[in-house]
Amino acid sequence: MKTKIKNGASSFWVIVMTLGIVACLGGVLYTFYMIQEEAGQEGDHRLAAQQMRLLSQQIAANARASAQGDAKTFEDLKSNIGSFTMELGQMQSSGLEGELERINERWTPVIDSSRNLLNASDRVVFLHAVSSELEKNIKPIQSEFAGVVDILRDEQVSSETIVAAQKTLWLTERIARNIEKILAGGAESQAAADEFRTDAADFMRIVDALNNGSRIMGVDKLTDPDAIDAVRTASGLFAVVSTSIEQIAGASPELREAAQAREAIIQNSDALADAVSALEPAIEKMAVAKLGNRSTLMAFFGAPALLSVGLLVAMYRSQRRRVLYTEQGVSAINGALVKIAEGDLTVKVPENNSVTREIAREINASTQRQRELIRNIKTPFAVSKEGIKKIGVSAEGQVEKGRELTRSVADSVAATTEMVRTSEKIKASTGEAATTSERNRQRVAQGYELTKDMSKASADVREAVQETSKSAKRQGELIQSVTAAAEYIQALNTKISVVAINTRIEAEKAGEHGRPFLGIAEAIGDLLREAEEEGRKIISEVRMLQNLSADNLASMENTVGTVVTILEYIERLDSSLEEINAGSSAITSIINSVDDAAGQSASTSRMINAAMDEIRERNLDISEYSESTQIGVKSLMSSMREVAESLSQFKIEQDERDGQVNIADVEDLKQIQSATKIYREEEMQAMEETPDVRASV
Amino acid sequence: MAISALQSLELLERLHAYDGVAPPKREDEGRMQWVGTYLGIAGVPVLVGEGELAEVIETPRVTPIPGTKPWVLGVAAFKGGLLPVLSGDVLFRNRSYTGRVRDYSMVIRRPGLHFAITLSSVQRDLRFPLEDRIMDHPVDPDFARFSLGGFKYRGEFLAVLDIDKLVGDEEISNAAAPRDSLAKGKNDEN
Repeated sequence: MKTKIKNGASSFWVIVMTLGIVACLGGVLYTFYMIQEEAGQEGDHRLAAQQMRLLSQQIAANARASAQGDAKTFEDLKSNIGSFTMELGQMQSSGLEGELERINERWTPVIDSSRNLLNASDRVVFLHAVSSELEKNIKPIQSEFAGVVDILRDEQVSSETIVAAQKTLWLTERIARNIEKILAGGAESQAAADEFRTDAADFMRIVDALNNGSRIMGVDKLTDPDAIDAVRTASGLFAVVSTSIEQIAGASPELREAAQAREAIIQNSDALADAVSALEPAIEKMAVAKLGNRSTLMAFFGAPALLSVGLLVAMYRSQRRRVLYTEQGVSAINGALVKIAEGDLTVKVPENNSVTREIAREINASTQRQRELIRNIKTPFAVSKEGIKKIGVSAEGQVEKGRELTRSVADSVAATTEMVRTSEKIKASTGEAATTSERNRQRVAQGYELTKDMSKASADVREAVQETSKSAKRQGELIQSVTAAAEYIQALNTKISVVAINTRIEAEKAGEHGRPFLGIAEAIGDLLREAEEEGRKIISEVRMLQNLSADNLASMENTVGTVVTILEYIERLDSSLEEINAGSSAITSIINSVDDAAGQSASTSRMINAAMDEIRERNLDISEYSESTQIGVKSLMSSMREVAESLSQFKIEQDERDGQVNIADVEDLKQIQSATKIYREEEMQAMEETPDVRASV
Repeated sequence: MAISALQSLELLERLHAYDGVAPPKREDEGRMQWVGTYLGIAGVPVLVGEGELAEVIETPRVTPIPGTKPWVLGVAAFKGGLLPVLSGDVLFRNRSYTGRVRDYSMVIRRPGLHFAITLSSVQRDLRFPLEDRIMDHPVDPDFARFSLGGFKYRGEFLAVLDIDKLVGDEEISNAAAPRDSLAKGKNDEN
């Protein structure tokens, strides 16, 4: 009955809780919807304000770019003005009357100027096109007229004709410059327009005069076909201006207004941008003011939330009481289970807790059944105990003997292995020593040969040097004679120089009649200068040769001295080689004695190997005994495993005192088996490998 | 659209191509030049101006003249007459000279004076622009009082030997030895 009442109370509280949460969610959703609604309007206004600021900047940029005369710029300007007006209209009902009034105030002059600029757009575009075309054509026009001027210079024409043709070059320049001034629309644009009109008329008149001749201007008619053709081409290129002279000149007032409108837009655009920028803070302020109304919405959200929190606290307290009662029953069961795990099967679990009562009853019945089963198993374990003990003792003896034998065999194996290794090292060392000794002997023989060759080569060198010395002396004599000849040439040069000087002096004395001799004297002087320079070079080079020859002689004397020293060294080398030969013989005898000792060591190793063979045979016998013991122990082990399996059916972790002794005996037997196993596999393997090592000796 | 500087220049060149006159040539030929002979006296390079040198001869065999100053080597038979030969080394350095034989001498002829001075070297005739003459260059102290400026030639300064100063010098105008030295000389010969 109590349980039913409790279940009913739980359901009530769950329903109450669910209702509270649903109410809370409803409040949250309503609040969220309202905030979104308001945020959407604010976002639209902010976007419109940013769009307007961007448009105001684009309008200023379009106004600046309109000076370039691009038709697309005017289209963009028109489109941007329309967009700005539309955005401004959408902002009217946003509650920002003050800011919008300021914007309207600054927008009015901008839009008026923009209209003026757009009205002049066709004329600006046209003039710009004309200006571009003329800029492209001006060079060809000038080039053609320059050709005409060149042709006219070669012909019999009046100077007025040439001047007229030349004038076109400057007229085209000035026309182009004036069109630019008209386009700029500055203060001097009207004057530029007047000058343009005059220049264009002049140009056309000159072209006409050149083609047809003009008596008033004094211009002759062109007769040269190339000149006529050039004037025709130039006139054709100038047609872009000539066909619209009045249109260009009359555009000046309109373009001046356009320039003023452009300036006005650029000047007012900053103020307009500032006014538009003031919109965003105003929108922000409006949003903050609206936040006051949101407290109501927050109340809708907070009240259900508080209600649900209260319900949760109440639910938590009742659940906590139930959990404590259950934990008491569980801790009693846990204490009993701990004791059972330790081997105390006499323990009894209390059955007064309603939650854990059924579990306690089952545990008590289970411990009762376990006690009965363990009593039944005790008897066969007591019988097995005695048999296992006996087997253990005999196996233990075998193991001890096997261990002793293993140790002695291992020691012997190590000793023989060490001996074999030592013998091998000695053998290898004697082999290397013999090789080295042989190599030394060969080198000594080579040394003998080399000293013979060196001796012979030194003698050859000495002879060659002596021959070279003779030739060097002869060379020195020749150089001496060349030096004398060169000095004689220098003396001759000086004499010629004297002759030249005297010739000049005599020629000067002869006055006008001596002039040819003066020339001859100067020619001799020039030749002499060259001859002297060459003679000086010859003398300096011959002296250099002399020095080199002397150096060579000194060097050869040094070489002879060096060769003599080398011969002395060769004799010393001979005696050293003899000593080395004697040392090599002594080393060979030492190597032979060491080789004999290595042979004796090898024979000793063979004898030890034979003894090791016998030990191995005995050890094999022991291993057979060990195997039979192992078979017996294995059978016992299998019977013990069966017993252990039957005990594991009862789900018991530990047994009583008797049961523990038997299991310990079994563990001892496992250790004995494993010791025997180690002896057979590792140590016997080492013994079996020993003969292979000896075989290498 | 405005005409560029290059275009403007090209236009100007084209317009005045036929009006230009070739510039007058420079007349270098009219420049005054100094002409002289490059010689060596007592190892010092000197220049002797045009017209001051009568001749360069191989030093003739001389007959010593007793009672003359040490720089008078003697008198030689030359072109049917007698030519006094002076030692350039002793004359300018004022000390006796023992060295290489001076093979050549320059003959100087002035009204009332006709003699030869031994040369240490004979080089060649040279021409220099007159404006290249350097008047304040340091000269060998023994030659300073007979020089009158000079010219740079191949990095070397060549002093101009003023023959008028040389012949006007009191020392050279009187070749007779002082009395005390004469007495000693006479005593030795006697």
